[in-house]
Amino acid sequence: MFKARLADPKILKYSIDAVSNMIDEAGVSVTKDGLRLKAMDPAHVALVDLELKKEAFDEFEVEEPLVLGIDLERLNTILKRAGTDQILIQLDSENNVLKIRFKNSSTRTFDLPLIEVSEEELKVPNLDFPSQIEIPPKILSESIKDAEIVSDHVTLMVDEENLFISAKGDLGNVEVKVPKDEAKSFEVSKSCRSMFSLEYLKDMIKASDIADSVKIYLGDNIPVRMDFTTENARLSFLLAPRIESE
Amino acid sequence: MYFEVAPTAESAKKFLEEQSPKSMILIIGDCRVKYRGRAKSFLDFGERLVVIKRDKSIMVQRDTKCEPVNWQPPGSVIEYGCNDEFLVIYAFRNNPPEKMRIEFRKIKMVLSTVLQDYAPLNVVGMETSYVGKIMEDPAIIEEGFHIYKKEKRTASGSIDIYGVDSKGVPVIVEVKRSQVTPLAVTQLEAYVLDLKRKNPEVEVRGILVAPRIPKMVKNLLREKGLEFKEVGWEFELPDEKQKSLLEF
Repeated sequence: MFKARLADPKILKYSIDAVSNMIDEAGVSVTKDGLRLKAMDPAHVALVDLELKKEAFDEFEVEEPLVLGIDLERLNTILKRAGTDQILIQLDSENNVLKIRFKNSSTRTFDLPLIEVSEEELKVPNLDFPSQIEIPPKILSESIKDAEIVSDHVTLMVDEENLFISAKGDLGNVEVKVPKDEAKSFEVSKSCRSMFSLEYLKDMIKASDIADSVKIYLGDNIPVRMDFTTENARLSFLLAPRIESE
Repeated sequence: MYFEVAPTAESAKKFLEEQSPKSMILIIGDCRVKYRGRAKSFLDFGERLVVIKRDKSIMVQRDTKCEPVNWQPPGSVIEYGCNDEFLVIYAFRNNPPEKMRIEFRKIKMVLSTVLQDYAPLNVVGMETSYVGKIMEDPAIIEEGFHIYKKEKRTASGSIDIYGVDSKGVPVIVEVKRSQVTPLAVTQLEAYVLDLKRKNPEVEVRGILVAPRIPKMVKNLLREKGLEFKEVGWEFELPDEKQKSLLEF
């Protein structure tokens, strides 16, 4: 038995929207603490770790831990129809579907068939990040959108004073400078830089709308970790770098 | 495999006319290339490799880089001639109008070979590009498949790929990237019926393409006179500069 209710669908909508372009299908663990989705994209470039604590829900009931195989693309299409309606989620184990109900003046019920997902063990890299910067998510999402105008990839760079988000393209360059004082926290043990594909970042920043802050863990030519957090939810991404061309 | 080393233009022409298009052709020699079409280009004499495949695609390769310096896609018209002791290869197509003319002044070798290649298909690429991969290489569906349009609208929705087979029979292709449910069969059937509604007499083929298709769905497809093709999608990094998380 599993049942959950969300008075405000935003958190679920935006986090699934951020994830579903990268990951087609995934096993979502349901425990008494909440929902957890951890998966890698098929090309092994990005890792997603989504945690929605039970406190993020207005009602959350589960008898025993479960793993729900979910077609995230389908789920995203359904959630896009939610508007601002209240969402009720209920497992119908007899028919192997997840019933997703939007409740407002009318009640709309979608059946999402559950799928079988392979439970392969994730090889999560163990990384030491020399820099950790926490900034308002809006700064990051706007910078990524700026970078998209000129290029397909973006360089994240930090020194003792600033975080730089820059992109170079045939049509011009863009650089966003975020001074230390604007950051919520700024721990930089050495200057470092890495380049990343905007293809992935532009999906990840969709989490900006629900997060209070984003913490960026950066190093030299190693993956970047970005933790978008809010009181009852966390959406973490690990993204492999691109090699900078000479 | 047949080859001639240092043939004259006349004997190379004869060789090519005999061997093409049933074999794949390689020509190595000193040539110049003129191209006129969407752009105009001229490449003066230099030693290059020209490859003419059985599908009548042609490309000129230099001794570095992957990309050919000049090429024409499958289905081009290719003719051979001789002109002042030069071997001349014309490759052209009408839509869009493009002409390529390669003139060899010295030929090191011509070679023809038939490649026996029946390996199962593996398509690589990002998840969103399956339809794109088929657009690039319609032979993924089957030999001789020709694509007219992607995302063709019908009353029941939008067809992923619409084309004709080697016999000119209309083919509707529905591509699924992951889990295939009976719903996909219904969808494909609806598209086929939409097309038949306009022309009840005409034969229309419907093919469902997915990495793996459950037995139950296969049976359902057979029952409805539809076809399927399992294509083993393989995932690869978007490009060589993108690192994978598994490297860390």
